[in-house]
Amino acid sequence: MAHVTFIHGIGNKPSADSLHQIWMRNLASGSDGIDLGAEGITSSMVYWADVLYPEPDTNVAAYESLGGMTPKEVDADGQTRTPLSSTSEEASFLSGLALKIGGTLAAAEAVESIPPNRNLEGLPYERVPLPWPIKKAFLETFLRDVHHYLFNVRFSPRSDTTYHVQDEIRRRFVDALEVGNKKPGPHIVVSHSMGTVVAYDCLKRVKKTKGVDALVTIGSPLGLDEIQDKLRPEWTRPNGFPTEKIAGAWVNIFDRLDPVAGFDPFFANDFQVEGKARIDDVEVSNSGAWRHSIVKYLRAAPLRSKLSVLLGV
Amino acid sequence: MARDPLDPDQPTRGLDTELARRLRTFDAASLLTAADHIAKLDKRGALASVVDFLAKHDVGEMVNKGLQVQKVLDNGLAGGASALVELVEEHDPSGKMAQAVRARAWKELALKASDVGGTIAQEAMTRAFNEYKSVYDMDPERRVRAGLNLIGLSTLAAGMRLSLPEDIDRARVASGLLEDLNKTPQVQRGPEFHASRAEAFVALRDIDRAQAEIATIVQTPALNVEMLGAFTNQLKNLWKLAELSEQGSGIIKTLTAARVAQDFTTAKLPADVIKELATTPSPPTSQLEAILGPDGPQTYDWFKLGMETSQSVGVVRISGVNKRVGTGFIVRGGDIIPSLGDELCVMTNSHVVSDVAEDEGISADEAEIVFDAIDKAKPYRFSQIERSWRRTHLDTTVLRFQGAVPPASPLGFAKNLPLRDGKQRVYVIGYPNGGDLSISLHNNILLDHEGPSEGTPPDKSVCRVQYSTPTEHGNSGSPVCNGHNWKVIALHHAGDEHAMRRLNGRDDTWPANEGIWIQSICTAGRGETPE
Repeated sequence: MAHVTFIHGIGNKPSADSLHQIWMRNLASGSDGIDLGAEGITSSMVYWADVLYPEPDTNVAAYESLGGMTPKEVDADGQTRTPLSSTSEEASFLSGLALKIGGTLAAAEAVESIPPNRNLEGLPYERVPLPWPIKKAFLETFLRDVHHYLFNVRFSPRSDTTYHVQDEIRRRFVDALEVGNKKPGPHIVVSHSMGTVVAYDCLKRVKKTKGVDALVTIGSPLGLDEIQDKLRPEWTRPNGFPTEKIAGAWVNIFDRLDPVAGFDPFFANDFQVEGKARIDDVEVSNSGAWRHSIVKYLRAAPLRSKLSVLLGV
Repeated sequence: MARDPLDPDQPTRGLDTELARRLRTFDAASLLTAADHIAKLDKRGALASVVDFLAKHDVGEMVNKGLQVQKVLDNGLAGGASALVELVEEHDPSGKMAQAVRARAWKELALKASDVGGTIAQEAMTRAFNEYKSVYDMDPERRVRAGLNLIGLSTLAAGMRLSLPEDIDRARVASGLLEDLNKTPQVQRGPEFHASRAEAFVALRDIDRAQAEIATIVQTPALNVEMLGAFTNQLKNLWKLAELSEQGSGIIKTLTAARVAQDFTTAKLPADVIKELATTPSPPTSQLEAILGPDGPQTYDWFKLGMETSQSVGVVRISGVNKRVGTGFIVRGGDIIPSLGDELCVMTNSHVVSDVAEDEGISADEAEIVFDAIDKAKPYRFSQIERSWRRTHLDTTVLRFQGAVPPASPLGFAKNLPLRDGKQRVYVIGYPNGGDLSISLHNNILLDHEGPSEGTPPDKSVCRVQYSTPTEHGNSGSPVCNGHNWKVIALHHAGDEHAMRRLNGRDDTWPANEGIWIQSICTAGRGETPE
């Protein structure tokens, strides 16, 4: 039977087991859901929130909320601040990302404010914009977490623990793939947000990483130049697809109004094989003002349809 | 885990009349309430004597004769039940608890007799009213519950055209009870508090506010499923909520779904309830979300699919004498034997129906099947056994219908078996004990299996599946469905609550049910050799 390795995205998270259950529960919900347990499919969660946060978040409900009105509901941490840049490279990285993600956030809000049917008169359109502090918290959390990973920052989430962020998260991902690789049947990596950066980084740039049968990236920032630049020299546009480690498909799931993915959601042109497109870019439409939520993505029919094929269920 | 011996819906012996059957059920339910009190007193030994009483006495017959009602519920109990009352009174010198038990018992009788009316109903109604009135007047601690029951009884009596010792001003009493409830400190406002408020709003015909209280109850973490069941019954039977309005009907359906979706051991739903739930429209999305939460519509869809699945499960019996011998379910014949194509067939065990004497099943000639949740009065006969595998092998028989086929859908088969991680639910749908008209949904946990990719079956052509909670006799031939989408994963064929030989060649035993993996049967049906 198949095995799925999940890897989560930015921000603090509930405990590893709780987070794993949340992902599986939301993937299984509804009549078209995929219940991995019922299908005999094993899975694991590569958990790295503790590398950047002192302790698991106990507010488990926030991660299943379909709202988006508190920092936790948008994968943000109210205490996290944008890192100070010590080099021009870091300054350029942070400002570039901030501009694009901030811009997409603003664009998403502008699009949201357009009534679905402008010819309809007499019906008030109810719009619930994301409050500015929420957007700011998300942006700061995103910039901090991604920066610390890609610049392999030395960081102490707790007084007695210090990590080199990239080294530690890479190690966990590589170990998880080794375990998954020993399971019978196809091995699929399902990644979200910054987890897609970790997955790609390991599959393309860490030699000892075991190969997988397919990769699913969800709400990924891998389309952003600033991040691609940090993945050089292994990454190049004509040969960005990790063919040596992904035996089958790479399916990229995005929502155009997802601030993380929306600025450049199409990967087929950015991660080619010998100059030819191979990635399956799949657009979904999540609900509400906050489109980056993994809970919403896991309930999207196109994602489930693609994943069902990969899993053979 | 063994079945709860005090399950109120369990029959103890067959009775001839519908009334007698209902009254028997009433008695068990009443004593179950008493048993709750006893459990609180930590006198669990008394429970066994109550069960003994139920087993030894034909309570329905006693009630039917109009002689024993008073004695049964007052002081004339024989055996264990009288000991129960004595025990209650011993620990309750004021008699308040015993009075509450008696009031509840009379109310249950009135509810069960509400369909037939007559002197039993009138007597029960009067006695229940007097008991609750006494509690209402004399016992401040139980005043709210007693007051709600008084209003409910007066509503019920009006509908049944029965008289009561005195009139109740519904609005005045309900408003007074709400005032009492509002004095409850915040920290003490648990599910019972909201249940009482919900009933008070129902009494005032304010169904919107009642629904809001019900939502609070249902969305309480770690909700007690027994409490939810009792509350649902109260709304349905005493308050006749489903008959009040579409909204009321939606509440009852939603609560029933919530109960099944909860973690339970055994849920028994009468066939006519299953039929109604499977064939009537779902409550509106807004109502499902309001009561069950954001995932309410999905939960109800899942529940309704289970009800529709249950409709395709029938009881196999000996034609002419109506003796029930097992369970069977509708399949698409081509899913097992390709040449059958879309023809609807029945799958059951060969130890239920077989032409081979050693299998100990009845023959196809004498067998018939009735789908209680479609039409209890319509038996279907069989033309032949298309294929049968010996009891010692796959224990499976596939039967073809003679003439008309039932208006039901074939059950789908799951391609894969669930994980063996101790967390996967499976559901056995069947007709337990061979004589009960209810369909039971056993919520079991998958314990082990011999299927791919880690199973090591001694015989590769028979992969078996084991799951918790031995079912009762009569479930032989039941479909075992996965907990996600009700697809059949196995054909139930055996159970041992003490020592079932474990799978994958192990020599030790454990308490378990056992089924044959549906794909083993399909592989054999296609004439293929398992990999």
